[in-house]
Amino acid sequence: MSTSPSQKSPAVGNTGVGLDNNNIAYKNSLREFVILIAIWGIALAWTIGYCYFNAYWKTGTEHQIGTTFGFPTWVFWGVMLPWVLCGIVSVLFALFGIAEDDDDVAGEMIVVGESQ
Amino acid sequence: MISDVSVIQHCLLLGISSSNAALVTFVVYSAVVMGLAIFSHRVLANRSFLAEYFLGSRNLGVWAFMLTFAATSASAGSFAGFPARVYTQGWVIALYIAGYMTVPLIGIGLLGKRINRMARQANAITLPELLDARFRHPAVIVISTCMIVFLLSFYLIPQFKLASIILQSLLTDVPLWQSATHSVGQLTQSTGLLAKSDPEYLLGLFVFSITVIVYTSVGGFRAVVWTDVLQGIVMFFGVLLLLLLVLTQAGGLQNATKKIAEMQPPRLCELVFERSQDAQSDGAAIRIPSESLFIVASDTKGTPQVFRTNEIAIIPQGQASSAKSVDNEIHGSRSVEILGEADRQRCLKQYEKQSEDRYRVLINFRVINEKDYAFGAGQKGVYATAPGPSLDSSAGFLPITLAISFFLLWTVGNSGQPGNMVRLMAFERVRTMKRAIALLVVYYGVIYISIVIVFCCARVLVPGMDHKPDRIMTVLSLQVSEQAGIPWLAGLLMAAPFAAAMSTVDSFLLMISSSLVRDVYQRGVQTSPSEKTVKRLSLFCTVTVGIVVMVAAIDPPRLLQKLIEFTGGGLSSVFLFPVILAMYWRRFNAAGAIAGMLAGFSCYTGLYLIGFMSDNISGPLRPFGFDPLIWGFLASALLSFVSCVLTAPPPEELQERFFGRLPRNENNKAT
Repeated sequence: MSTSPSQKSPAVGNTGVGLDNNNIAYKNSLREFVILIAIWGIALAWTIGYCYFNAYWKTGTEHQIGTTFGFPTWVFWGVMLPWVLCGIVSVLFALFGIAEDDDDVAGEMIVVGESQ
Repeated sequence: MISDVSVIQHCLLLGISSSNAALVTFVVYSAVVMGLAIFSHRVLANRSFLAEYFLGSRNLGVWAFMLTFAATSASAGSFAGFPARVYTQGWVIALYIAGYMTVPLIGIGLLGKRINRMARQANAITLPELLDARFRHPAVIVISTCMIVFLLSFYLIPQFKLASIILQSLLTDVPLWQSATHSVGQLTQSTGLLAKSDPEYLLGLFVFSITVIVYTSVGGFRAVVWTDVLQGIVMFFGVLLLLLLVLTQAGGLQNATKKIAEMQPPRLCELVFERSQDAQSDGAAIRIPSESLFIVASDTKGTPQVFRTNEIAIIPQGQASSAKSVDNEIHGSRSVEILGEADRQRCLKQYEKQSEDRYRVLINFRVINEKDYAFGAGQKGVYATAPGPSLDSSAGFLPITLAISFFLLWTVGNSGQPGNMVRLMAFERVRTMKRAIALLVVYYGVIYISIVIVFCCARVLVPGMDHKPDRIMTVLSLQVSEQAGIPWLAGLLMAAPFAAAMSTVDSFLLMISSSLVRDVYQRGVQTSPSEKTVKRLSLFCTVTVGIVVMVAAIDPPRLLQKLIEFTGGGLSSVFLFPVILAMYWRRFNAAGAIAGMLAGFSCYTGLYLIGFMSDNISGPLRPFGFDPLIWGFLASALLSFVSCVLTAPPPEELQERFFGRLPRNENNKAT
């Protein structure tokens, strides 16, 4: 998942943004977009799926509320645990999975401001 | 409906009051933030305000970018709206907010790199400017600006309400404030809508509105990156300190959860106070503070009844009661009857602890306009399970379809917020963004999980705030910091969101007026107006929008989080798909963007309108149980795609500018 050197775009300075740089950056972003949606989908499925079966009040039944580390058990397994795991995955993907392909545009400052 | 007109003699325990230490801390912090804002404006005098406000001149480092991104979604929502939701609904809010587990990654990662790169290439500092550069179609910028202005105006209402609540809580014991409240109460007691409102809240609203409108018109206290960074730091450590205090006073999380599992929703009601012949015979005005506890010994049931006022009550001079007549209906002070044996016993203990006679007063009242929860009334365990109690819906607060809707709103919807998008234009380089995502994982995790724990515990520590739940943050801060012997902390915890609300209102009013004049008037009516005309129009827009928002905030929804949800959902419905497609699909054109924005907006607001016009529906119309947000997304995605493929693609030059060489040109280059 880490960035390969070939995916990094060469710097072209502030004189202009090369079309090839744009192409590489665009393709990298598209790949990352797909992975992000997959991570999001897994988090959604876990949380909603677990809570649907374990958190909801069943009409006409006596509801036993257990606790895990002080949280209601369904909160711990359905929300807190996926939250922690998702955090770990997010940090790993952010640091090692997102390509640094902005050498050609990074550092360019704003040229004009607003007319206020 | 008057359900009980009998007059009851009872005892009163005066409400939670603020201390001087809290007020002093509040003033000092506000002065520091203001000084920082003035100093930064002097230092940055040569730079454009909008460029600096939104983008920090597009060179934000990791910490500044992370904290400004967090502060953008903070303010009134995080400090009043969300805590009130937790307090009102209990542990189910963990599921409601669960989407935040992916916000750092999705909120930044989904669009961050593309928006940042394209904004640099286009030299754009706002979303309409970026869309204008991407599509080069005048209708795109006008439509997007109008929609941002319309929806952001709703976002201002919670800021006004939050600031008014804070002023109300901090100044309630100041004699000048008290006499002004009496005057407002007398002035408004026969004035329709105003008569129903809490005079103390009205006074706070009026003071804040006048201050911020005048302030903005003459130069303003605008949010800059520096003040945002300070707010972000104070919010983080303030919430952590509050968590520590609350857990200590609630006896630990395990203990608090067990108590919450035993709770049942209270009964909302209004109390009309009567002047007692023997105790108050001189006819002077009587003031009953907000959050006062009333213990009424019951002869029949064996257990006493416990009530808590949620707003101030005044028996005016020479009058017999605090009743207010509005449209031939009698209204009293919004209050709550605390139900459930354990809750009542805790309140009785609190009452017994307060041994000073001056806090124990006999007064008569009657209970009117009682209302039970539609879901959860009389049920133990409803605060520790899903779907959570609901005042209006018999299906509960969060059916599974709404849980899915909110998961989408907080994550993918977060990417569609123009406020967040402009922040994404601000980071210095991709490496900054990557590290900021990692830091935000920690920041959001700590803040949101802590707030859920703190305000679930608040049900145990301060029961009976359900008629005005948006006040729970201020009331809890005052109570726990007072009990812990550090009353200044309450001032700090209120000063941070107050300053955030003030700077948000100032900056948004300015942004709205400049957008209307620059992007709508100058493009649609007169292309080159004189400088004098521009200034007059800007001033007119600022004052008009300010007054409209102030009037709208007189009688806001019981939960201001509803306005945050409405605004967030609306902006996402309008912008998410058109912007995603604009960033990732080179074939996407202006027709698709216009159709997508209009379809998302029409569908979303249409479902809300139908809901509000129907007597049988509480809230918006939700086909198949899904929030209008989902239908807005679908309509926007569908119309964006269909309109795009039915019309011509954008010019090749535009495609190559933002997406690189076209495939056939690549082939040409290779050959």
